[in-house]
Amino acid sequence: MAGMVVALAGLKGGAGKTMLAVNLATCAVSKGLRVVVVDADPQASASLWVSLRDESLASLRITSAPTARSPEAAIVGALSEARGAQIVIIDLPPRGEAAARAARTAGARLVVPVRPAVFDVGSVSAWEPAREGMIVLNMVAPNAERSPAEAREALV
Amino acid sequence: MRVVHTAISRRAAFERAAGRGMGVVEMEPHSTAAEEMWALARELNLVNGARG
Repeated sequence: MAGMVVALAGLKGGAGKTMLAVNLATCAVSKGLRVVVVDADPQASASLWVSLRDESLASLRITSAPTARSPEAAIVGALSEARGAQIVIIDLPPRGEAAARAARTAGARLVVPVRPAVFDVGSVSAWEPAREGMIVLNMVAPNAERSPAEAREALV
Repeated sequence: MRVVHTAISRRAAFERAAGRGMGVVEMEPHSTAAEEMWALARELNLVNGARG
């Protein structure tokens, strides 16, 4: 069985799921942990990122999980492949409710990046997987439509 | 909804690192972006709650 499983989920593309996934993965490998990244997003950005890694960097494994047909089977299969990993990071597809549910059922902690913008905060509030996960305010900028405090207040 | 304390900014630093297949903690380990990322990893118990 894999160790801790974290799944990055999101209603919209461009919220930073993959960015957080690969950066959390590098935090873990930097600590010497065995890490597997599961690329379940058809855009395959995490796979591209891994392909760019220099051999001199700490190694991490990547496996793909095509969730289009059967999200549950894809997630379960990927986690089976990740056996022996201490940390598994799943990059879920956007609007992937079924995949997020499957990841949650498989024991993953859902992490949902959200930009502190009016429409992003509004839409994620009504998205069921976000209610079961942990929201991360991402791409916070000094000139954001909403400050992190305002966005936090709107979400809780 | 549960909103974690750590907020992530510094988008440019993340993009610079991603372009080289790296994370910010690898490419710019002493940057604010790296500090934010470590804070998030700790808050999620990722680097101190792993099972062997």
